[in-house]
Amino acid sequence: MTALKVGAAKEKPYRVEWIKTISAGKDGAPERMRREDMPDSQTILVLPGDDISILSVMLPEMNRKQMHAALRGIAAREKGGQQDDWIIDFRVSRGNGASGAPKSRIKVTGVVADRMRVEQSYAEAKNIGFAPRKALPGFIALELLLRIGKPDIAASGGWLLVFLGEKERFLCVGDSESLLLSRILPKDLSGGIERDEYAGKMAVEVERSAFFARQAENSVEVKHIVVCGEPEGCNKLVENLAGRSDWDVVRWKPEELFEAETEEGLWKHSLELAAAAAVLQGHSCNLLPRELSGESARPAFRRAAIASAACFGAVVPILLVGGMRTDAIQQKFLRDASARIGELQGRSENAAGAYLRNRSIKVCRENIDKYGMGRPELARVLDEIALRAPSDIVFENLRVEDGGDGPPGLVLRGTSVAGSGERAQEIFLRFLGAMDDCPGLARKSEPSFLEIGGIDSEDLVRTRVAFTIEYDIVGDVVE
Amino acid sequence: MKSFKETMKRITPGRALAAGFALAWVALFFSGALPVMKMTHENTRKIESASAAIASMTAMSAAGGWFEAVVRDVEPGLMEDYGRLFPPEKGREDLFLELARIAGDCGIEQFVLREIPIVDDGEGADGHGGDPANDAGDETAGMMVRQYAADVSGLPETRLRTFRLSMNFDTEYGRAAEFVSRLGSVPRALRVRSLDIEQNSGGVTVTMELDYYAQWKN
Repeated sequence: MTALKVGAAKEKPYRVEWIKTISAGKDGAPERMRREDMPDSQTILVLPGDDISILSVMLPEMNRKQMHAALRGIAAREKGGQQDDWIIDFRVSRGNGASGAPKSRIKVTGVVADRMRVEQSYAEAKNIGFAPRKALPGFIALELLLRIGKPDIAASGGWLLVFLGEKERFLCVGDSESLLLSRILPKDLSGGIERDEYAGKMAVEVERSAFFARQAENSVEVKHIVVCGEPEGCNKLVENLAGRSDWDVVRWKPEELFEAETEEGLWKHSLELAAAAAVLQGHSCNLLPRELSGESARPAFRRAAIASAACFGAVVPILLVGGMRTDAIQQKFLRDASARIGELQGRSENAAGAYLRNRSIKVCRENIDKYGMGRPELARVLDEIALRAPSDIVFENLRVEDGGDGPPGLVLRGTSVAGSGERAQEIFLRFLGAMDDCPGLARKSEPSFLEIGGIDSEDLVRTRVAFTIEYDIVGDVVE
Repeated sequence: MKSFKETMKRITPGRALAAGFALAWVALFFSGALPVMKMTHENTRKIESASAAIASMTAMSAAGGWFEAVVRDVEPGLMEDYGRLFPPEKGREDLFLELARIAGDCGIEQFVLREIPIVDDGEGADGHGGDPANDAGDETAGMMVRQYAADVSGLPETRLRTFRLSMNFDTEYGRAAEFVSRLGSVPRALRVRSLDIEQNSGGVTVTMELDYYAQWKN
């Protein structure tokens, strides 16, 4: 396996910074690339072209996603297997009417690779510490370099490129916009001994391919034949082809586009050099699955990162502007509220004062009710007692006590005097009944009494009933 | 360690611009957005307070109409009666003269009248009556003052002082009853604490204790 690094140069378009041939180590495992030799992103893997083919179709207007789906379906149909078995990348060009295709149709040139072979190549690269971001077949790389190195040929119309390499030999046919077909060429089994014979066979292959290209759906009239690769073989082929037709046969040395410490033998790495140059020029053909190249994550990640950054970045201006606007509205509200409070201040002061005066009025009423108006009708009660008491009733004591929060109390102490106990009792009971009917009095309890016999000053037998009666003085007491 | 030059190489114009934006963002946040957010938060608190004050004042103003109507309609007449029943001054001499006059009109002679101290028996102690600044009212009045700047200086004095007098006289039962009856003609509030009418040889002996009141004075 060969690894190399290419950069921009001054005198020539590119400069080969280093070339390294990876060989097996002592334990049979391949050497590993040094981390510092490999840049982070611009890494590309050249795939062997034997299982990679060109798919050239005309499609109606559709977006890239639809085109990709269409090509996957066509590949699965033509080559078999499932759609996921094939990896496809494609280029789009408009129909220019030259081949009879209408301008509304789109010419799509797809490159179809076997997923398993690609993953295998990727694993081999990973094994030596190489993590490519892109992968493309050699013939695509060389086609891209042809458009860079020989732009007049590439843009002039149909061309056929022959590459005679050490490991790969192929030809591809294309026009000013895209590739039409590619074919693997047989190796020189003679080992370089019978070069003329081999050159003759290759010339026949070239003629057949040119003829086939004329017959294809998107036919291409080959005008130029470009031969590159192993020097002697290429020279022989060029000699052979020169006399065969009106083609413009060109011997091309793509390695001459590169500066290197040692230019001898540089042709052996033509495909790798071409791939590196294609990456530098920004050409994009990538047959690595998305999960290996990280391409699927990057655009999405980039979009998410940009969206997040935009949202995050917009937060502060929005907060600031929103906050200032909110503050302005709040300040206006506070000014209005302050004015309203000013209006209400006087009224609420007066109302609060009136409320407190109401409370004072209530207390004054209570005082009046309790102390000012609560005087009992003592005089009337006293008169009633006097009216109801017969002459046989002698009062000894009448006492009125303030009842506090309750009604005042009245205690009558007296005696009823008669000639007999029965009579005295009768007088007392009649008096008691009369007192029970006295308005403004409510007897509190049964009276207590005591019968006492005796002789008066005139030597008459007299019986007295001494009684004590307790009342509450009740009812309206306004005098 | 990477050299300074290599580090500077890695600072592309795009990265420098991004760093500048980031710094500006941070500066704008801390100098602009954050203070504004604090200000709006403070304003929110003030708005809540002002809204509560407006609601409270509006309610009080609305109720004030009713309060003022009561004050306007009731207070003049009530306070006139109150002032008569519970005069601002003690007025003992005037009361004594009035009682003596009544006793004289009732034909009561040897009328003994004197003021006696009040023993604290839970009744008649000084400080009767409520006051807007009593225990429960203090809080209300305080709130009214704090919230509405209510004027408490012109409120009527509702606390009362209690005084007690004792009367002794001998008379007939009927005249005693008349005397008691004519106590009602005394314009100020009088409360009979006790009345004792004891039979004696010539009639009755009356011993009476009366409470009378005056408005509290500090």
